[in-house]
Amino acid sequence: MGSLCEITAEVKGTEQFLVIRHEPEEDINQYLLKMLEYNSVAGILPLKNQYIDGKTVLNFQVGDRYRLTELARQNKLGVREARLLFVRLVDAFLEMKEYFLNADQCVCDLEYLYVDATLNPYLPYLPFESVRSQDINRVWRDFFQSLLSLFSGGERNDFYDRLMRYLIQPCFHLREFRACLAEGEESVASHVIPASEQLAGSGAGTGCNAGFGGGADTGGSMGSGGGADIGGSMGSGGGAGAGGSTGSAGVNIPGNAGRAGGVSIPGYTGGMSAHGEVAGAGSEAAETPGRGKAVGFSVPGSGKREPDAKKGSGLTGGLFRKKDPEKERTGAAAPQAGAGVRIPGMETGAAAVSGSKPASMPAAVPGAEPVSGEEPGKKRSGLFGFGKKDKPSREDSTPILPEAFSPAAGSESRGGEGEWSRTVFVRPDQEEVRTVMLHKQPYLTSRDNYIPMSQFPFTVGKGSASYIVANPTVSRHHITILRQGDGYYVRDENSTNKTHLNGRELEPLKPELLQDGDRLQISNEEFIFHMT
Amino acid sequence: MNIGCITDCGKVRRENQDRCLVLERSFGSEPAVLCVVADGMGGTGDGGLASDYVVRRLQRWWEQELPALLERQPVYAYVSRSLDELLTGCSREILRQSRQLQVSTGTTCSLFFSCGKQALIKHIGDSRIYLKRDGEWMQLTRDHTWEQQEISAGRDPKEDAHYARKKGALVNAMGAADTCSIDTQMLQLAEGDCYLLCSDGFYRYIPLSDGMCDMTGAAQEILERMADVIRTTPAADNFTAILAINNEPVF
Repeated sequence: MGSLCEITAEVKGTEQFLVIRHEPEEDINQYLLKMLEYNSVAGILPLKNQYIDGKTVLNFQVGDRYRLTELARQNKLGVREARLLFVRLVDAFLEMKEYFLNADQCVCDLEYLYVDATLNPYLPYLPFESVRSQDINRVWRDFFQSLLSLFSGGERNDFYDRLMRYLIQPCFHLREFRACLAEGEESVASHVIPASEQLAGSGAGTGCNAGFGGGADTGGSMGSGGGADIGGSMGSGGGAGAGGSTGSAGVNIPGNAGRAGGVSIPGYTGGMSAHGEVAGAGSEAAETPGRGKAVGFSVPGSGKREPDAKKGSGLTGGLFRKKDPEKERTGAAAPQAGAGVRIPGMETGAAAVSGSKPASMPAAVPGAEPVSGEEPGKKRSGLFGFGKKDKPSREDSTPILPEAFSPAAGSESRGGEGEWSRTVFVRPDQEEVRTVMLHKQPYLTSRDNYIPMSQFPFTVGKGSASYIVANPTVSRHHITILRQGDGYYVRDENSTNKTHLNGRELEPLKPELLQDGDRLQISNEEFIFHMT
Repeated sequence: MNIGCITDCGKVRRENQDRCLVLERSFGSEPAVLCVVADGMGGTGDGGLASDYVVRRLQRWWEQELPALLERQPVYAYVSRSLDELLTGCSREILRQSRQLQVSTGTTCSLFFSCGKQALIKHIGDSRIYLKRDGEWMQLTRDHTWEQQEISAGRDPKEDAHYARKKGALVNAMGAADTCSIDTQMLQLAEGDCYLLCSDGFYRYIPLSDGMCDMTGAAQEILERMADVIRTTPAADNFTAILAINNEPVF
């Protein structure tokens, strides 16, 4: 193993990126790198590669996505959102092998988990040879436990309890977890939603279909899924006449007048009226073990639906369409629907699943022409014949997040201790993008010096202290400044040359309240105390 | 400042998991200095990963972030805050990657930054920063070890039945736990000050008292002499030290 990966948040131009650097250069799997560059892979942030001083710098584009931890802090994310996100994450991990990517090379950390307005998850990816986890199941289990804690916040309900019962077990398997997520959804999933009422709430998601992924919970407040119930305003996500919508698919966001066929979101053009079509008129549902019939589907990465999208292209609407003509997939997690591709040295797909039989698909070899099933005339470019995918357009997706939400634009909201906040990289030829906001904390000034007081008790002296004075008349430990609640107190530590507060000599070892602007004289050193 | 740096594998260890960093440049009219010692820990020999990571991140911080921070006022508030975030982030990242890769690693970090008439110290672990002022050596940092923790709590650590095994154990390091605590100190610079940053493999084998250490000459020469002293001892650990001598008058 060469070194640990550096992951930093940087602003380049006007865009935000997660920047990953790793050494040595030979450790980068160039094939995986190209797969990431030329494909939009569900669950992975888009990658823009850079070569700086002969070294590869991976820039994962955050764009206008939200960091989930910040989103959770600012908005109450409920069971529906939790279910949606869990399913999409697991499905994304299971589907990555379609792009010959190993899900265990995703950076599974809540701090790096981003979502878009439709709650599609995104993580950075490490295309390095040496970062394969020895025990990815444990890593995933810990990751999902953290995610569950983030959503539940201690709250208990059937869904959270069910997940926790699985996650506390020592053994974790992604497919088992997926099945656990699917429990209790048959009653919803089996309900076939008319196409006109379907939502594309899954957007570019991963088989989180209208029948299930919309987060129909046991409360039954959403008879059919697609999107999330914001503020409880909807009776049925896909139902007719719910929450002001005129019977068409859409999410009724409080404050919005639901337009026919969609939702009008300020700032968006065209509304969501395409949803009915996007959801796939007449889409066929595919059998998915443990899930019954799924309805709806999503085609990631493509701005427009292909004519046969209703066949359920799912996530395989990519370069190598692995679907078996006899079996259709909805982009659900089940690998049985198609993948029989084996790449030497890489994990197999469905062939590894007991009980499944590999579909009669020719093996795909990197660099070879794509296998059958590829759309004729589909534009491809780049190395290995990979087609560059269009990014999903915003208009095709139903936002799930409240319109009022937006991360603090133009400012850095710094959290408390332990939070990794964004680091701004400002180039000389670039205007400052944001202003760093400091937490208010007391400080001292002395001569022209500014002395922040970030830790208490705060000591001043000429010996080892929080602030070390270069004055021989000051005692080694001259004063201590204490914090008690909202108040700050100064205590003379029996110093030789005494301490004066606003001209009055302090009694040794007796704390005195400090106020903003107070003058502290420590021997012949003068300080001014500032509260903010 | 006149700065010297030395790092050595020692006589027993196979590889050197210590890292050090010395950076100097002028930002406008003010010279700025950054000195870092990081002592990697980890029973399986992966400690160098963590110390290397911290040093690389700090180098990147120096190159990419510090210039903008120095344009803000108050400088030290922004610099201190930025370093806190960086070190906390490094600790989390080291921990995350070590868990994913199932390696055991972590590192100490003792950092000295100066730009102008003051200096800022950030400290995690059991590496140390000393100040020699007016002919006297002072240990500025507090060890984040079990033994020091017991002493600070008013207990005698030697009364513990497992004292020998526990005394050097770290209670705070980067990448070793979900959170790490960073000690922050500031100091006024004075002419003639000597700042010594060193790993435990250095200070355990060299007594820092006048008469024992010949402090004449350039910083690098002084460190070489100190290293020669250490090499006469068992030197069972990697040792690393940075010595910065402030020859500039401070008004």
